[in-house]
Amino acid sequence: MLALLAMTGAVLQGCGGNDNGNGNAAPSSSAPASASSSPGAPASESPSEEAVTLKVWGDLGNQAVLEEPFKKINAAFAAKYPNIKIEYDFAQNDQSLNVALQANELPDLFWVQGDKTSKMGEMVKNGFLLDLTPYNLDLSRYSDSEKAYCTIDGKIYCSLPSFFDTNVVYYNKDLYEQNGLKAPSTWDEFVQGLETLKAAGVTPITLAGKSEWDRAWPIFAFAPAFSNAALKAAQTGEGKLTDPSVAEMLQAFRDFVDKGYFGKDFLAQDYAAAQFAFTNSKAAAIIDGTWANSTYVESGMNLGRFSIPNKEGKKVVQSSYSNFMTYAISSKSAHPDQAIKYIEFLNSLEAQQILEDAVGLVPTIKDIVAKDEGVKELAVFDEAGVNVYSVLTALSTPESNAADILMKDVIPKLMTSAITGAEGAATLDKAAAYPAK
Amino acid sequence: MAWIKKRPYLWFILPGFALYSLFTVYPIFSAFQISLNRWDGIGPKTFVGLGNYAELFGNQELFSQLTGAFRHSGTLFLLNALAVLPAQLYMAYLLYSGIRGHRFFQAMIFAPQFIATPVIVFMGTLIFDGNIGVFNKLLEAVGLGEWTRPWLGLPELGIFIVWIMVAWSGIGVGMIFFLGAMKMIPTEMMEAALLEGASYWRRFFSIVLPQIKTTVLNMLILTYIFAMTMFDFSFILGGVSGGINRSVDVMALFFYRIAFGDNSAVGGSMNVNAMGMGTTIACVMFAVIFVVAVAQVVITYRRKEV
Repeated sequence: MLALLAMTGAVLQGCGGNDNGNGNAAPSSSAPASASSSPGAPASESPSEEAVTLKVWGDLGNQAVLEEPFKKINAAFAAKYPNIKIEYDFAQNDQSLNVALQANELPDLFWVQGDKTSKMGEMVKNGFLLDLTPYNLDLSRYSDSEKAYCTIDGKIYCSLPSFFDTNVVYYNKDLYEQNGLKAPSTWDEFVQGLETLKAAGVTPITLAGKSEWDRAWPIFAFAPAFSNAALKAAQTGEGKLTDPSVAEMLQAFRDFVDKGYFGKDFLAQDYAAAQFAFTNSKAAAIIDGTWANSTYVESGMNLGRFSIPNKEGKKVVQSSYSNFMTYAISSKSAHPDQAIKYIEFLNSLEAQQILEDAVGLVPTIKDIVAKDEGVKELAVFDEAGVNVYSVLTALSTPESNAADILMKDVIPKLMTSAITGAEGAATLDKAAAYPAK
Repeated sequence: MAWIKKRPYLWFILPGFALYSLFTVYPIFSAFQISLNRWDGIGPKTFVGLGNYAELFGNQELFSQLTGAFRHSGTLFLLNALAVLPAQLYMAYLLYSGIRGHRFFQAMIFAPQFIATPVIVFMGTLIFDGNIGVFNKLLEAVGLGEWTRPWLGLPELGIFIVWIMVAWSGIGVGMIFFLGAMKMIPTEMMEAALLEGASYWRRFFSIVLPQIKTTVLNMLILTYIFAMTMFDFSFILGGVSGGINRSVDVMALFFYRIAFGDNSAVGGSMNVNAMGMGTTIACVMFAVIFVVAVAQVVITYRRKEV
């Protein structure tokens, strides 16, 4: 029965697909048309008098963190533009976005990950996103790398990032002190500390083995610490992923598994259970993103944070822009002039400060005031390194996605000790399409 | 025309036949037609003949996922056929023989059927979860604290956890079917057996079971179709990837993953051929079910003729 339903669905999509195929050229040809009409009406002019409703999709995976700030952001927007009603739903994850793309039923606005993944580029290529360049957004506050995040082939497609994401080790200061430990300054000290904790019957690091992204944060943190130079070289085509430091980095993750640093049965743990184990003092640390900071602060524990040092004691951390406020407009939106107001608002200090006050991210723009001292601790490092996912995305083609192979194939196999670090590096090397030198 | 006039019943068949063709037969052939193309679901299609079938069985990663999913579906079928089905028969016979409170038990055993799958899985979570589960608390209470584990999602137990929930929720359905069939047995026959002095179990094996054989065979094929098309439990427990090591993966989930989910890690050309390969898997699933169903029908009818 289900198969039949799915088949019917497939047939229906066949019809939709054809329409889309014919209509593919339309957005690109109609975009300049709508663009030529809107700069004629300058951006400062108030939008049309009639009330319109914009459908906006928020990040379902981070609803817990984003619900409060976006409620405030949308309220502030409503006060500014009473004629524009925002219907904000935490409805978007990879799957719902894919279904919306296949059915050509995108909401007016939805969040995108810029140049961090290949997705936005693919959507632009297929004519799904509205080119924002003709609207002459005020980008004077932003640096070139922030603009590059939103740019595909010289055109801007989303609201700009204003915060910085990285991964840190959140640790329980009480448990560390009870075992005579402090935040480590070298890799070996870090590993010895884990051994001490394990001997004391505490899970050294809790890991959400069931959650595709959360179980990958150790790899995100190890990658720049072990193999920053090698990954950079691979991205430009001057090196390869078979570089021994990449294998060593993957092997370090597997060693943690084999030595039991992630605790018993971490494979069956989801993200909530891992967080619970940490805030409940059953585990001494969790490797997570800076975006989850407020969750741990609110638990009321004696919280500390450190970046993982490499063997030489240097802290090279992965760095990428936060996609919490980067939204794009669907090319099929019926109200592009109103949607652009929302983009402008997300680009404003007012909205960014609301997010900062609620979540406590590391701002990349000087006029945003950091929430508290804890936020500063998130940014203690010596060098901003690569984001392994972005590197692999750059090495991906539509035929072979090396980034997804890391997430869905290599990491699960390392977690179950099915492959070694060297085998994992070889798999990635096979999947990667290196640029010509 | 004369041919139709001689067969007026054809007019009665027509509406059903038309609807059935439109909504069942046409989609099957249409899906088969898509499966002959290389298609990502959005862009243009390219005809590749049986290339998708060759890739499904030739690509090592795809084939291992196919066999893994099929093995799990098969495991579910065998467990249901060998453990649940006899239990259903036994319970139906108990109710049939009118044990005390049989109406109450009948309603209770059938009741889980009224609960939606996500709720059943949630109830399963309340029992088996590592942190809040009752089962772990029970183990601790009887002094087996070191045995506590996060039962949901342990790769080595994956499909068996799925089976426990499936069995609990579905056990009443087969039982009702069997009970209905047992009630069709002429009472004279049972009375005669009683007078002849046949024991409780003798009556079951020599009279009841042979009388309801067709129902049992039908139930067996329904169990098979269920196992091959089951999707919801695995999807809720393991997500689109089918859990760690694909430990709860089943055929329908495999189809969904390739057609609609993230499939880029499969390797090969899956990103640009999601729909083509998805429908290919759907057609293979159809064939796997169809062959067994036909075989079962043939066997049942041959027995009647003898």
